[in-house]
Amino acid sequence: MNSLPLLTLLTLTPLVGAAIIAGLDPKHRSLARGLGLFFNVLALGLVAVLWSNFNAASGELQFVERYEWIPSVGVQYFLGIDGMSLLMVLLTALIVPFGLLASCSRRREEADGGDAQQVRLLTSAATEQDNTPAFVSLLLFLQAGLFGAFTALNFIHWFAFYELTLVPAYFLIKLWGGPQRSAAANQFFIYTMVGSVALLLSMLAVYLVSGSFDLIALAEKGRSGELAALFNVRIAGWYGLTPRALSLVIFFGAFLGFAVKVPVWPFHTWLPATYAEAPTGVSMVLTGVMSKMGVYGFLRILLPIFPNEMQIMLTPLLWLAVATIVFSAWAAMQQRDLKRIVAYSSINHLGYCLLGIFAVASFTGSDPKWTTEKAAALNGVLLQMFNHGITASALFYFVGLIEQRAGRRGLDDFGGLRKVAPVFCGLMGIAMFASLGLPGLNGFIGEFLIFKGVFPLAKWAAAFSVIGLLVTALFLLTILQRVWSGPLAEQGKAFPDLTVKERLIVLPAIVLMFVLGLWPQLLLKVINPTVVRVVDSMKL
Amino acid sequence: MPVLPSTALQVVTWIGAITALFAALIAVAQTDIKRILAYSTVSQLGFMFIGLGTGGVAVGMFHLLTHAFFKALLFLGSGSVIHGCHEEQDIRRMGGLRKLMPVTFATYAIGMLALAGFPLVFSGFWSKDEILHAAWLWEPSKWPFLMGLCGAFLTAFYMTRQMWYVFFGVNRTVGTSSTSSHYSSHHGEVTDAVERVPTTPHESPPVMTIPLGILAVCAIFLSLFGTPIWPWFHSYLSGHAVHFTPTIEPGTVLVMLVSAVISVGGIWLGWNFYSRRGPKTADEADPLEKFQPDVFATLRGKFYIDELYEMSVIAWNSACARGSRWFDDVVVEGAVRAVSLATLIFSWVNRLIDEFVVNLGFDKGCGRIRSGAQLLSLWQNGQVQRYLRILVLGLTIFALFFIWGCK
Repeated sequence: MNSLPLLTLLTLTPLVGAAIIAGLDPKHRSLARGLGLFFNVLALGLVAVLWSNFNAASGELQFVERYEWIPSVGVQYFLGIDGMSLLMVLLTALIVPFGLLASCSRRREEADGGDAQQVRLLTSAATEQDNTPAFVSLLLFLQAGLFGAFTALNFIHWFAFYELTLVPAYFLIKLWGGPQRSAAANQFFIYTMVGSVALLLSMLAVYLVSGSFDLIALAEKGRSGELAALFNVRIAGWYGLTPRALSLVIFFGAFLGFAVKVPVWPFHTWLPATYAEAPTGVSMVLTGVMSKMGVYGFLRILLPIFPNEMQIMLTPLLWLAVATIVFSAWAAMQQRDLKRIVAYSSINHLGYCLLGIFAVASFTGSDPKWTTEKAAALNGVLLQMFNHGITASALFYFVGLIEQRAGRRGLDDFGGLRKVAPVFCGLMGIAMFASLGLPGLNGFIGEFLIFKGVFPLAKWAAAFSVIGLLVTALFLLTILQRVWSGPLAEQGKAFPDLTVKERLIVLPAIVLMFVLGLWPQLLLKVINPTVVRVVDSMKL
Repeated sequence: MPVLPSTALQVVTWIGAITALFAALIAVAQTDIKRILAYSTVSQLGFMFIGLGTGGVAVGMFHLLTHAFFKALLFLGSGSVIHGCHEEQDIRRMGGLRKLMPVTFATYAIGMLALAGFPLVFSGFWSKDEILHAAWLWEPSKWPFLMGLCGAFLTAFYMTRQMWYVFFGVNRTVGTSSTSSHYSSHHGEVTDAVERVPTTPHESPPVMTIPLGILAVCAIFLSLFGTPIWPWFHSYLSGHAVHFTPTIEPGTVLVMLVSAVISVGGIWLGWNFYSRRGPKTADEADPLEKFQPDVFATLRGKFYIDELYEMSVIAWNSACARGSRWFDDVVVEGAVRAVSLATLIFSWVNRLIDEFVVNLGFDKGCGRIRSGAQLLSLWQNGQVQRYLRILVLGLTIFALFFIWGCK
């Protein structure tokens, strides 16, 4: 298998698809959709090949491809995956087709709708046409960027893909979004760009002192303290700062880049606006995979390269994570737009990931007891990323379907829909319970492991984060109460239940919620060796 | 001196005692048949906690087991009653059902007597007695025992009250006025807005009465496993051998007597009180309400504990939620807008500088160059005569320069 550059092929597959579909005539909607799905199936097949050939027990980098690219500035074409990259690649390969199918079902619906009432409801919804070749092509382009970012191991190479994902996402929101799409797309792009610039500057400083963009080599230097020593020598006295302050400034720049992406409170206000305005399929990919790039950055870059700085800033970082968890949950309680509620709940769920990552950075010495806790927390973080990707995108899909049926998506616009759409209610209920962390469904295991690990490491932060768990349950159950139970509103009587096609589209997500909830070992066995290696090498 | 129980066990005991009494008090004033049973369950859970705290696992678990059967019997019986009364849950609109629903009545009575702890025959007596006995022997305080006794007395009382309301007295299902329906819906009880059809209650089908019978048998005979003379359940949980001891210690007998008196006393008081003064119509106030209106209102309002939650936890939570949204919408979003506005202003100023400072300077410079160029262009205006003239002038200058310069 080593002879075949599988990771390059993986990134190229959607890219080639995007190029082919971009050349199609705008009329050829179904062809574009078919081709898009074809390339997604191809990508999924490649990921399956990766998964089956991946040596889960080793925890080392695999499928490595390394070529010199621009030797004079240390840029290499350096690809490879370990357990956590593989998990993210799998998530990307699963969520993008889900989003694609969710976007493409609309036209078909309208064509099939013999019921006059239904057609009227449908046409009153947003008039976007999100299955044009351009849409599909941009979505595939986005997927290529995501694959690239999750497999790249040289900073410049990685950064190129990281930034490249912004472009298709920007146009997808700007061209196919809701009424406020222009403002939302601009805010999204500029906000993320500011973070990226800060990150780039910081990494340039790191390059300046270390002469390397290689994330693996830098992680080695970061762990051993060599990087800190180099900061002291190479750029001592810049801006009249002490080496320690300077290293913190550099850390903060990198932190800002990922903090905006995840997002960390208070850099999060772009997210609800963006997710609410983006078309359903794009919201699904944004929350399902793109937000994970921020967390992945924390894991791949910040945690290994800046362990000392993270330790110094541990207390504020932990409380930022707590603020992210708690304030976003409370803010979600106050939202009246279903999409905004789910968006805020996304911030909340990724807050748990941050809590886990920061707690792992705490200083504990080399007692093996702490290694277990840290491994639990990091495993939890990775599972939470994966599980949130699935549940949140399913929730966005359901909210999109509600909006498509009723032309509205306010929390107070509905009531009693369970009576007319029981299957819809049941499946969305499963997704919501998975999201609030009901044991037996996938949301539970990640949060449980995070709290198991974080509680002994940072007990106060963990204790206050529990408020977030509680409030999450509150606002998700409020949706169940306001939208699905109670007296049936008059205009809701024509609300159709899920069609067979819609059921089939969401079925894999629902099945995964149960499978991963009951059998988390399926993923744990792949990520755990990587996590153990990371934690072991971090013995501080 | 014996070792005192751990703090945790003491807390468990106290919480159990408070719960047992508190919930029993609330159950006295409820009018929804299932709500009475629900508060009764809370109260019995309090008893189980007293048992866990004072007597250990076996004591608490035995009551849990017996309670499971007779409370299941009561809830199923209440379902039969509700079904028979056409989805009516308010005990004030029942009455006299013992003749109309004989099987339900008989089984419900067994459940009620088991819950009330009627002596010797019923399982609830034995399991509750074991708890009270353990509480009596508890070292730190006798209060949990006394509170448990009060709770047991109240249990007997409110179950008798419920029995009387549902199965005795006059039938109040017919002729229900609309005001009482209003009253009940005002209190949040489940009522349909549909006009009430006065129909005669009926006995439930065998699919409901047969399970009732099975549960009733269990409510009686389960006690066989946990009497003081043959504590099989206790030894099963503790892992020791079973001893059949026909002799009972005097202390045990004393507590048994007290427990029996309390139970029978509660039933007797409830029966006397309600059979004499019980309401004749659905709208008539409860005799306890006439007797002590304020106390009754407090009990009916569940000590206003829901209102307390509403004012504390829920209000606090929504205040925090509003605060978080405000922070997002005003502070964070404001900061973002301020930064964006500052950038715009900066760009605008920059443009002004470009246009009026840089560009003007550039224009002036350009003007100078232009005028300079105009001067130079005088030399080459296209007239051959002028070119020749300048040529001659230049040659002359060069000639002079070479002549003088080479010297």
